[in-house]
Amino acid sequence: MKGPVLLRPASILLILAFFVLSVLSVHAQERLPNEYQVKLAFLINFTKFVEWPENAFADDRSPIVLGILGDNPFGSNLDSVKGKTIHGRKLIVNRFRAVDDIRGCHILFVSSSERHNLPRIAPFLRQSGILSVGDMEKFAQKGGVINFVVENNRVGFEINLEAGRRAGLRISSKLLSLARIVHDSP
Amino acid sequence: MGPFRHATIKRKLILIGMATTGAALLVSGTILIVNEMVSFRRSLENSLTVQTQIIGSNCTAALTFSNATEAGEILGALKAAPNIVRAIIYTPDGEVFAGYARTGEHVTPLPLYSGKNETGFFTNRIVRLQPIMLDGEQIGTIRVESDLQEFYARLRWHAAIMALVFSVSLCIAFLLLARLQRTITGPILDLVGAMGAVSRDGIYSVRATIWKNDELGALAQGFNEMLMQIQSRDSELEQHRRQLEQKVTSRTVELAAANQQLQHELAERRRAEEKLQRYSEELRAINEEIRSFAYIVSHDLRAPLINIKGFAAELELVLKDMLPLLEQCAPHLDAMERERLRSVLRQDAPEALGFISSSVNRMDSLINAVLKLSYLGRRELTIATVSVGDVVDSIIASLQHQMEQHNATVSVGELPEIAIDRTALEQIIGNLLDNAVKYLKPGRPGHIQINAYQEPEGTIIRISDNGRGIAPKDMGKIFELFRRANCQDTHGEGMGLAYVKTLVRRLGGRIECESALDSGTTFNVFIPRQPP
Repeated sequence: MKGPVLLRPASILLILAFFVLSVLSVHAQERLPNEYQVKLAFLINFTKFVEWPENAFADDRSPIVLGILGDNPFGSNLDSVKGKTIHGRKLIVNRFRAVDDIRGCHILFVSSSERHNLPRIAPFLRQSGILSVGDMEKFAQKGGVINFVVENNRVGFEINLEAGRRAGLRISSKLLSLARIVHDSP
Repeated sequence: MGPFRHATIKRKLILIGMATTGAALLVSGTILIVNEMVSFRRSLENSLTVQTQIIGSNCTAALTFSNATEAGEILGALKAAPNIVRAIIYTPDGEVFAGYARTGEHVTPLPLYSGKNETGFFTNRIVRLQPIMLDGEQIGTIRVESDLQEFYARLRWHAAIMALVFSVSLCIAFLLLARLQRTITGPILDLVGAMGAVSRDGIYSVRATIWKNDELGALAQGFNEMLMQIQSRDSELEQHRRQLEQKVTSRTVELAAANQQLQHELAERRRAEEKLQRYSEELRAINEEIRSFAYIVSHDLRAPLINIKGFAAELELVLKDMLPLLEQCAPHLDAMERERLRSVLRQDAPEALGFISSSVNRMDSLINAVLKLSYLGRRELTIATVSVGDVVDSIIASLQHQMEQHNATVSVGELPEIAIDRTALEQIIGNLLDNAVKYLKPGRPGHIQINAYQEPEGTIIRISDNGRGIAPKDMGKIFELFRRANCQDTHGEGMGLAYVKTLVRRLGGRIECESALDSGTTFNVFIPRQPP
């Protein structure tokens, strides 16, 4: 006579193995930063290698504004960067639903959710004083300054120098040396 | 220093010059090299710091975006600097982020230092450690190591140059010194030669050459002057010596004569002394003879005297017996014869017998006195400590009666204890006090004083009275035997002061007398501290 399936030794072992693995994976997730944590760190670090035109800030103490267009892929991690100081300026995070909402923004992260709105967004990106960072294919070629790419499980980025120049930004050669340089293309 | 001490002055001068030059070169060269190496080290350090800074700064983006490949490439640029051994970039956690190593060197894992700016010097490495900052935040640390080959190559090069300069300079110094030392050694050697001629051969006529007008010239001049002085002194000395010799010769002759005379005188003196000795012995013998003579004479004189005395007494008895017989015979004689017989028997004979008796008594007492005196000269003295006061007191007590008769008082001063023969002292003071009482001025209250004075060599006992005194003409005789001054109203043999003088002399002392007629006499008796 056989007992209930869940009480069989094999089943018990399996359940135990599942628990152990899940605990381990949770642990592993805590240790290794996920893609968006890296991207958020990069996003913040870009500001350290980019110089904005003088008229982009009201004065020396005025804050630097990070705008998020579209979905927030960073989740609660975004809260941890709020209030950070970069080049002596406070970092403020603003979320925008649509392109028209965008006001007084220095870094604009264009979420991959806006992939389809790119043709509408692209003209706005030509505006001066905004470092646009995309998270989608061809973002840099379409007028964005920086675009995240993931290759071989590593987060990298492309830079469109012309776009940067158009936006009046000076991008450090150190940053350029790490990036793949792309050009405008239709 | 041993062999150097005995080296010639020439060698010494050269050695001193070489040593000085060598030391100066060594010191200055060492200072130069040390200074050079210190500044070179500093420049090495600076260039390493700059390199590190540039590389570190170039790596900021690679570090920020965790691009180790890019960082490795940046570090790879260090190939251009062959002195860089290795370079490592650490993450803030201290883990190696990227590394570069010169061929043949290991990259990992080297300890991270404090993480601050730091330069470490080791025997063959300089290590520069520097934090990599971005926007005021340390994002990593870079460590660059350089070898010191260039440093040591330069050091070797400097050392070689220094050795070359050193040896060339020493050679030049030697050549110069070998030539120049002559200006100093030349005059000295000349002087030494002159000195040798003087000291070895005694030639005082040589003169040192005066080369130049410097100290050595002055030395040579001084030497010459000294020689001149010595020469003149020498001749003077020679002259003096000759004179002295003459003087000595003449003096020697004089001295010999004087000596001879002295010898002669000495011999004479010796003869005189011998004579004196002989006389003295003779005198002593005579003295002894006299003394025994006095004793014998007085002793022998007494026997006949006693006979005379006895027979005089016998004669007196006979005379007494004869008187009744005479009375019986009286009627048979005529009146004249009877009267004559009576006067002879009753007056003349007893009178004569009385004279005989008194003369004999006197003679007896004189002989006794002489015996006593001769006894004094022979008696053995017993020296002991005697209180003069006690002696004086007992004598005054024995003279009490006579003093009352003369209405006399005595005052006694403080008297000491002295070392003396007690009997002699008693006799001296007794006689003097006796005399003082005896010769007081009648009708005037007598006063006698007895005092003593300590002197360095002895004691003076002074006895003075206010008696009749001694006339100056008698002063010389008072101590003579059997002499009695003027007044014969007192009885005595005239022996007292002669005794006293004899006793005092035997005690080694002396006696002096001061006196004025009618006002008193003072006797000073000096008793030496150590009697003979």
